[in-house]
Amino acid sequence: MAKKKILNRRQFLKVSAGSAAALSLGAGNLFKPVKSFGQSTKELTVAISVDPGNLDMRLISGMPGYSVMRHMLETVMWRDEKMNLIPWLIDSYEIVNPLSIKMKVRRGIKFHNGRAFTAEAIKVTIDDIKAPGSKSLWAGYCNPIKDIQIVDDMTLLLKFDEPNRPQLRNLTMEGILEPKAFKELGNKIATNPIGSGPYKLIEYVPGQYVSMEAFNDYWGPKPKSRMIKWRFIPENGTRLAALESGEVMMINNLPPDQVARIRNNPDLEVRDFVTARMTFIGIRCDREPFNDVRIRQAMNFAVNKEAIVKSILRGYGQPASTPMAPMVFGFNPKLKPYPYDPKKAEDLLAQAGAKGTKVTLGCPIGRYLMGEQVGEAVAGFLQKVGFDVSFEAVEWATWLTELYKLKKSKYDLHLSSWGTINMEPDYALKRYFHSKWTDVTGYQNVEVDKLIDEGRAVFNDEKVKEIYNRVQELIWDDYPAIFLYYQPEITGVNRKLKGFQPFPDEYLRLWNAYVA
Amino acid sequence: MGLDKPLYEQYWVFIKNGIRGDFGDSIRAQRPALPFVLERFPATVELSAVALFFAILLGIPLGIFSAVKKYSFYDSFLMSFALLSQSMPGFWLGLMLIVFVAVRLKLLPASGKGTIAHLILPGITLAFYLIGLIIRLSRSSMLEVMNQDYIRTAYAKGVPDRLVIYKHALKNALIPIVTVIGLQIGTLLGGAVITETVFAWPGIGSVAVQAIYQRDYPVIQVVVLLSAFIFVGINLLVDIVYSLIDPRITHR
Repeated sequence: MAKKKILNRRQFLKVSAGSAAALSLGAGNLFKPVKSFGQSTKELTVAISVDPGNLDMRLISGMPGYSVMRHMLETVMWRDEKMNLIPWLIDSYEIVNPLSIKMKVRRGIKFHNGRAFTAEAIKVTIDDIKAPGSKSLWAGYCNPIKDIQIVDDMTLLLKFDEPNRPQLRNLTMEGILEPKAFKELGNKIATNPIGSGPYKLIEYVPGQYVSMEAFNDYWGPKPKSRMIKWRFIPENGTRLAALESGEVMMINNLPPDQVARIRNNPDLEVRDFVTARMTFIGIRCDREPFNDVRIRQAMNFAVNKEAIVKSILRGYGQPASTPMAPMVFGFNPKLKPYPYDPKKAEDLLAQAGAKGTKVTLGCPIGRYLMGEQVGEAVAGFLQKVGFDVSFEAVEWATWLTELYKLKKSKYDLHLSSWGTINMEPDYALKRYFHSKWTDVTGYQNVEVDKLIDEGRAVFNDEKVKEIYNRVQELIWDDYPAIFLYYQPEITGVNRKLKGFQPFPDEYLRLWNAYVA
Repeated sequence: MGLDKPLYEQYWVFIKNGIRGDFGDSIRAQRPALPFVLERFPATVELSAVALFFAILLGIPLGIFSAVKKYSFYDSFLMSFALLSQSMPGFWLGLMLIVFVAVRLKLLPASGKGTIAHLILPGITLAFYLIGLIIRLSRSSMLEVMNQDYIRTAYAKGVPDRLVIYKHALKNALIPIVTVIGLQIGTLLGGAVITETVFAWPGIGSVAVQAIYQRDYPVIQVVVLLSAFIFVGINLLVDIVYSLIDPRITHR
């Protein structure tokens, strides 16, 4: 009997330990309804591909994160739905002279903590971004502002050392914080961003979601959903499954090869747009034999961009017709994509006496949308017309190291991409075509340099367009890269979601979105 | 970041700061890397505990059952099941569960964390592999013990079957089982990388994957170091548990 008793007690212990463990795990959320993820007209749940990591507008990087922040913090300038530049937190601005811009702050704006919006907020936020030792990613955009003077409560004067028209579009990016809270909170602003946006923060749970609720005293049109929850689901298949199961109403960053799953589902639809991101193959123009324009021409005629867009991107995106994207200010609509003409490419190659030229094409893995597949296709097209291509798809860091050996890099060609979220032509063209910046391609055209410099100092819109139209023509005639396509952003949407349309600047705007 | 300094100096700085708990800032999040990783630890513990709990609860009894009924239909069935469970890739099982249970039947949420319902699918995915492992191990370990002389003696002196199995045999068979479960706990707590990623579970595993994608070196370092610590710690615990199970093993 005694033996049996011990056994029983042990069994009892085992059972109780087990149930205690089970209870402690489930305690608290055991009785929450399983299907608490349902959508109501008041609440909107979406999934984005990246956890921004923090909510400090000064430090955050990456597109979905900017979208999240833009719902809480607003910017001095903004874009309308046609991507035209408009004043946002200010009523108007005036170019006093090329070195100073006067801004009248908009009246009647309130911050989430109830304080009124004044000129001080803009000054405090931007001064902090460009303070010495600032780690802010926006520092480079704000540094050209030499000084911000507060003329009165509602008036600011921005002073520059050099004329800087691009600054206006650069001011569409930095979210403005409430200055008093900012001073009090310091770096804690990262978990409690207080701005003037249509939504205010409820909670940020790293790795899981950020939730926000409509701000009742918002100065603009009332936001449609009472609450928005942005879930972070990095894995593509899982994000798509969350949409399919009805847990979320919208997902961003859908790979083209997964689109069929959405098209086959009657509850869902694809909403896509062509972004201001240009994908191209950079050519080392300063290296034999690529300094011969005929060879660069041959490369451009050899590659069938239509086919790449159609098959690899499943018809999303758009073949490139100029070095910058259609929605960027000053886009030249007269230029057309280089035609696909392999015969002509072969002829050009023969003329240049460069048949069988060895070419190394470097391509980073997992960095750009379908990047490896596109790189491989390009390599195939080049091979076909008579180049001897060696294609190297390597991990991003390795690729970068090799590319930045610059003149000594083994890459004659590299696949890359350049996004212009502020729609500013200076930003779109300078990095890869102004010889001061073209370290990775060695491209140089004195006239292009001159015009890009000039474009920064001109404030008349028509004149600006004229200058950049000309710059695009000049670059287009030089064939300094194999221009491929403007990258698509594909979102998957539940048909019940109304009032949401993606835009070329890649910002996800949810303030008008609601579940019907 | 001191990347211009020679390697041994970089290493020295890393060790020196690491001992004080300073592993630098996450490049992506611009926050100290250690708390950034540690705040995800409870989620990993929660998921691992659930998976282990069910794996042990089912695995050991089924293994014993299999050993007792060796070469029977049940035994072959369980062994086939164990083979299946160990050879099925976790990401595939996870995706299938998501597709059928969450998307088609809409019974459970597909991903994320929150209610107990969120735990079920990743819990099953993680436990599935472990169950097979534990069944096989318990079975072979039990079979070995069941052939020992003292078991025959126990039967001979008329001890009831159940007592022989649970008291005389199981206690002796436990050592290898505990060892392997210990190793598995170490692995699980280091982050079930694939399961966490597939289910968007906010644990250490998904942090590690994201950090690797984003080249967030300080975070990767913390994850690796933390996993190593846990692994070593659990192994120490396992050694201590040995002496509780088998009094012949003592610490002097």
